[in-house]
Amino acid sequence: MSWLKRVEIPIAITIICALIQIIPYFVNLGVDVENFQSKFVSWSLVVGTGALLVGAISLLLIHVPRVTHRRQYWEYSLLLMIFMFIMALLGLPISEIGLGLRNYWFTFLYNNVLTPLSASMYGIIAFYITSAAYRAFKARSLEAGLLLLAGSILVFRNAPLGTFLIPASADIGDWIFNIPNMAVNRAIMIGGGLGAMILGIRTLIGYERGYLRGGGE
Amino acid sequence: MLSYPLYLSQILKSGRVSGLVFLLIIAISAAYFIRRGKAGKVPYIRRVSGLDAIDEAIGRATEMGRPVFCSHGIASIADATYGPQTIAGLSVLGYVAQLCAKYGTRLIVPIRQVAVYPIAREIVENAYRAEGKLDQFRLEDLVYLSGWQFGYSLGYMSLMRREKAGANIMIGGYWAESLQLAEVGYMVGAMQVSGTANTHQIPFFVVATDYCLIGEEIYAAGAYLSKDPAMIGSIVAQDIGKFISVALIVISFILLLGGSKFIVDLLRW
Amino acid sequence: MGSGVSLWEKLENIDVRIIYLILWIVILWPFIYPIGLPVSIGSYAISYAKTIDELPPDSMVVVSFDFSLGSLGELYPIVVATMHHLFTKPIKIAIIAIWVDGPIVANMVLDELKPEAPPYNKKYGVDWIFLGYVPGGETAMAALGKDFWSTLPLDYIYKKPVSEYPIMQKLRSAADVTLLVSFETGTPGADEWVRQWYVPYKVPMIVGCIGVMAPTIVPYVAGGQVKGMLPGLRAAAEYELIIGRKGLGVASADALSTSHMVVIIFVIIGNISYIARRRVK
Repeated sequence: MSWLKRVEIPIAITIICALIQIIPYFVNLGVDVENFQSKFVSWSLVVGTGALLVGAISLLLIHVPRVTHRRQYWEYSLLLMIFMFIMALLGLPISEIGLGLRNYWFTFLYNNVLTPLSASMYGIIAFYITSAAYRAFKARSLEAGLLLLAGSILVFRNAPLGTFLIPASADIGDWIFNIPNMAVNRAIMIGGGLGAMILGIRTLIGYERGYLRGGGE
Repeated sequence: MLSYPLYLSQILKSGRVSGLVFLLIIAISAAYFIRRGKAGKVPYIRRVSGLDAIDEAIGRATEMGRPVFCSHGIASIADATYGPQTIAGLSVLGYVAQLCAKYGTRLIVPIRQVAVYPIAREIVENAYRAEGKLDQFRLEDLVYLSGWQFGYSLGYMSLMRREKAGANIMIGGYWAESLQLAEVGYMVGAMQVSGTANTHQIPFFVVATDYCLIGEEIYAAGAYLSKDPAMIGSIVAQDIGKFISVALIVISFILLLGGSKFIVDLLRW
Repeated sequence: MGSGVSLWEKLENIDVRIIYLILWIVILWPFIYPIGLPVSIGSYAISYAKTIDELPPDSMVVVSFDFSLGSLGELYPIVVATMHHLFTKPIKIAIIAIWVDGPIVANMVLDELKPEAPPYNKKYGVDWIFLGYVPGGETAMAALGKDFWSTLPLDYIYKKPVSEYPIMQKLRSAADVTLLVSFETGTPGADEWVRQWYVPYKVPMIVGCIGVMAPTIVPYVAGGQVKGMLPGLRAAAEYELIIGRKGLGVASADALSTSHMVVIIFVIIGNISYIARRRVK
């Protein structure tokens, strides 16, 4: 069985699967190959979905011992597990007994608990932006000064009162947004794309093993 | 207009030939420089202060007796566009785990994607095994928090507060939770090294963390940290790609000024 | 001799809880006591509205809800205003979702606007259809682009075969689409739509997005793949003023102004105290 643990096997699988996706993308190999390529992607979606079970088990592995041994904050772990089971049960696709996405309580919990919580979490970002700007937008150096200037102009530009008080902030803000910002975004996207390409090539030739067992043998 | 030849369209799909040529050039460059690296001709690459700071962050956390948090983002490893960021983050995780095992520092790994959980577990466990400290490996410190983005963020923030993170290393694909994590990391006094190729989150990381890797620097992380000459050689191929991109931009700009769309049409092949 | 912290140090290190409390107050106050600050209209909102206004009659417009519930605060005004604008036009509308929360928001909007009632008087299955959520992200976009009928064989509301609806006789693939409207907060989003619909089929699109996504979509606006963009709540207010339907966007404009000004004030305080402290040293 030791040969199954050899790292060459997952590397070989990675290379074969990558080539199945890459070659038909560029080369006309016929409809059958393209259909197989699409089916391959569907397989990966199925495998990924199967991994959901791993997540649920992992959650139980963490929170059940916390409850049974009455560790710190065990009450929250209990609450988490109760809600996890409730939502999982209510959301089961068995419409014959009233369960599923149209179940009243599932919809109620989704719309009245999850939705406001999601919106609240998003809203927290506004507060963090303020404290981060207060802390970081200081003219400590030339670069920091430029960040401060550009950031301030765009804050004015985004606020209706800002463009009312300083009308020029609209035009200058639009210029910063459309010209330097766009150029830098494109540059980072190109660089990021190249980096991902090199990472893919390193993976294809078996050099990138960081996603395997920690790199070494 | 330079139109795509019909005979070529029988073999290669139109609209993708220029991409294929570019890919082949980069791949051949990568193979060449990797071979040169293996032969001992290691190219000089500039210091990436963010990556150098990882050692400092872990050392600082060790001195303070506080845990190190290392996350690899929230992107799925199977995603075509953002999966590479997760792979880059996992490369860094391997390095961080090795250092933490060496120094005896507690390592906490918050995880969002279930498919990544077994990979992260094996990476960390192997790092501890390699250092001969498997008894210090704590499975409960590899925490699958939630598949929901903000459930993950909330859990991560709470963990950092409760455990009083000494260092927070976030390299991978991040979205809206980036600023939340960075701010809470700052509030608990953690030294933070971040990096992402998501351009919309880079400004948040730059502002809120101590060191930030921008764009392609995260993909070079695995090679840079390993100090493997062959891997470092592959980073040069990245720069070759950039030189070609800049050359194409400049040449097509000059040609466009003269009224010619030759390069633009060629890139549409 | 006092060894306490100087005023400048205190100003440079204001407790974040005070900052958050002040911010909370200035955001909440204008909702209770509206101020009515003016909102100037920018070019993005104008081009977005113009793209919809210039749609020929009987155009096929696909509207995709690509966002999660968390960003409702910023995107809902954009969504409502856009759907109102679209429903007032003599066009065909097919609603899809690439994100799992998309149908929930779509239902919220449809419950609010009631397209089958006056003033829209749109007939389901003839003028508009709700096709529902397509799992798979970018793969789903590619599949839809090739064949709507096989990717979404049933409609979302009545669960009937799409082939039975007159509107779907005109929508087989992305090649039949005149305009794609995408409301989005992240991935999958504009990048993926450009790759899967613009590059192969040249389908133009307009995007309603959260402010933080705007810098990443601007290159596509400049490149012509995206014809119009509404970035964030301010753009929503501008758009509502253009189409003459004031809603949550305009209502939020005052809070937007006050909160941004608070950020500026704290940045100024931070800089003044930093410079003053350096001078004292």
